[in-house]
Amino acid sequence: MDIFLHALAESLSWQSVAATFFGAIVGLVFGAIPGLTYSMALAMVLPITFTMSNTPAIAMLLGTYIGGMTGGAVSAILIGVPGTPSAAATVLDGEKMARQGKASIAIGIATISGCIGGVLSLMVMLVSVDALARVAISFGPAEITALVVFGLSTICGLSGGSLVKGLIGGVIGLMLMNIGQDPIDAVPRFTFGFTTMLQGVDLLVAMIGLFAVPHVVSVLATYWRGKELHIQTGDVRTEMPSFRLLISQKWNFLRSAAIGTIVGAIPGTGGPIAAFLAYDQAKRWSKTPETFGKGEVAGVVAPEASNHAVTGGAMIPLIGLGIPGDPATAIILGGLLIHGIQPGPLLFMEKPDVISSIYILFVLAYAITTLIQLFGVRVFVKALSIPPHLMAIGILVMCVIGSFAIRNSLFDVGVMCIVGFIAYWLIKAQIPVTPILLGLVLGPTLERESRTALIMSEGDMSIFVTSGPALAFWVLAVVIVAGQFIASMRERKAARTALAKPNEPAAIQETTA
Amino acid sequence: MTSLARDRLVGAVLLVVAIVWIALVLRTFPPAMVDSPTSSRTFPLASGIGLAVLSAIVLFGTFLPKKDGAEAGKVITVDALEWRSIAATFGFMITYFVALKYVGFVLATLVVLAAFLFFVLGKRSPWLLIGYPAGFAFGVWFILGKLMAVYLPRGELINLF
Repeated sequence: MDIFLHALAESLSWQSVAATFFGAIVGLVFGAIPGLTYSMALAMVLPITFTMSNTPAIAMLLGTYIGGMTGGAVSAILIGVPGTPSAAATVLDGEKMARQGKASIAIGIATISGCIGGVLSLMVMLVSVDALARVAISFGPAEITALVVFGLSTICGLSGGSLVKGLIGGVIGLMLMNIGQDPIDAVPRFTFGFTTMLQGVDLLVAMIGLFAVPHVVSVLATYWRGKELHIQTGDVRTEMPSFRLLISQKWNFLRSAAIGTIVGAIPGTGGPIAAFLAYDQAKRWSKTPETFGKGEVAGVVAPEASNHAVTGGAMIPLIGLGIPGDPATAIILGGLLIHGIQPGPLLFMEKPDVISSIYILFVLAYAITTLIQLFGVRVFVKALSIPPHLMAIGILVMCVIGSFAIRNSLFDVGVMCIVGFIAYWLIKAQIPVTPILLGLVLGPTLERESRTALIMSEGDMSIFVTSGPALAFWVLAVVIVAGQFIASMRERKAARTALAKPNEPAAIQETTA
Repeated sequence: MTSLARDRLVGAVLLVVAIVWIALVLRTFPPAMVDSPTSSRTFPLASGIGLAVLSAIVLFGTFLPKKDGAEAGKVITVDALEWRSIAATFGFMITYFVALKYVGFVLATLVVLAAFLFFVLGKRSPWLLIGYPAGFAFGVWFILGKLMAVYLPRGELINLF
């Protein structure tokens, strides 16, 4: 109880509240602007947290994460362009409501639904994280190695196309992680005599280069092509939905939150899948499915409750096992590591106050984000009218300052530029950058634990498969990779069939002639 | 360039990178001690071999007969405007990097942002040319530098504030 009260006092200090407020605003703005992602917002705010103590730093990261998820609905409803991929399903009915002159109530419903979905997911998180951590506490190096391989296998889910290219991304991340001092023997690797290279490629520097720099290049190219999106939103207000309306959606809230939490807890899935699944289920269970897609309230409630519930679901493997499930949680994990917090079962024993703080800050972030969205949407929606190219050069300045602030080193700025340059060409080559991030985040643990396991077993590789949990993780990893391989084969076959179909009538005509 | 040619180029470049990487690991890292099952080489070598195998799959996959010819023949270009945006982005970062080193955060942000707006983006509004860089520079300086005590770069030659 003392631990909880201490965490509560820390979490409700003015520093934590201010940090959550700042993070929520940044997240809401980045989430609302199509093209800017909350992963990018997280990479931008992370350097700001360096000078903070742990609790306000976590508060700012959670505020940005949750604010970013919430902000996506604003542009989805007002202009029919989702601010984040997770808000894509909200467009279906949200935009129709706006066209019917119900934009204010649509934003209100989306905001409240998101808050309810998020808080419901926290309840599941509270129970399952603890149970997961109790199981994981007995894990040794071999089990942790298998667990990290399982986490890395989600690369397939994040590859968004070619399985091989997704794996190439992951391996590049592991290679970048090799630069610097060896964690066990302290041998310098790929340092070429530079002492600054001994610390290796900083995780945050890499994140900024990977996510922000390629975005700026594409925004400038769009600007010079004259295809920049000009958004005029007019006067926007938020209207609170009635209590009766919310009660009428109770099953929709519960169902959608459950879908979002389960999907979020599976690494490599994320908000868009959860939102569309929940939308589909809401339509199936509705007494009036024909109204979906025409401005149906339940069609806004379902995706918003579900994609926000993903935030709680995604925190389950992150806190319980130290495995991030998507780019945003990978950046949050990076932020926690920078602050000396190693998520995983040991955290429950070593720093239980941090766990309590995370739960409290999660609720605080939802409360503050909801209040800002409800009362301040008129002000911050103006950010939508800032031309993207002007926003882009501001982001570029923040990239440079952010990478400098990590170690007060201009060397890191140079590394960020190089990583950004490489990331741009990798994206052009259709190699996704998210697996690179996952490789960078999980690589050090994989190397340390696998080598420790081999030292313990004196080189006997069977140590990795002798225990039940380790074997289970290996099997899960193989199932995920095989599943993704089969899915991509089916997609290719379907694409070939679709390509072949238009030629069929012509072939029939020729035969007839 | 077609997507097939792009994959061939990507596979070849990454294969070369992997081979150079493996060679560097073998030449510059000490081998494992006699009684140790792993060394500082183990992981980099495994990653290098992993990249070599995967890039070889991409490279040799392009020589296999394609059933979906339309996808393989899809033309991918990097047009002049894209080159311009690449040059502008990295040119900005390099110039800003050098300016930060010599004149510090505030002056570098003011000058480089204004110059970028004027020369690269072609902006002519005095309000934008003065207001945006000044607002950004002093806003970041105040919020990050003063309120949050984030260390901002100081110039070697000149330093404002």
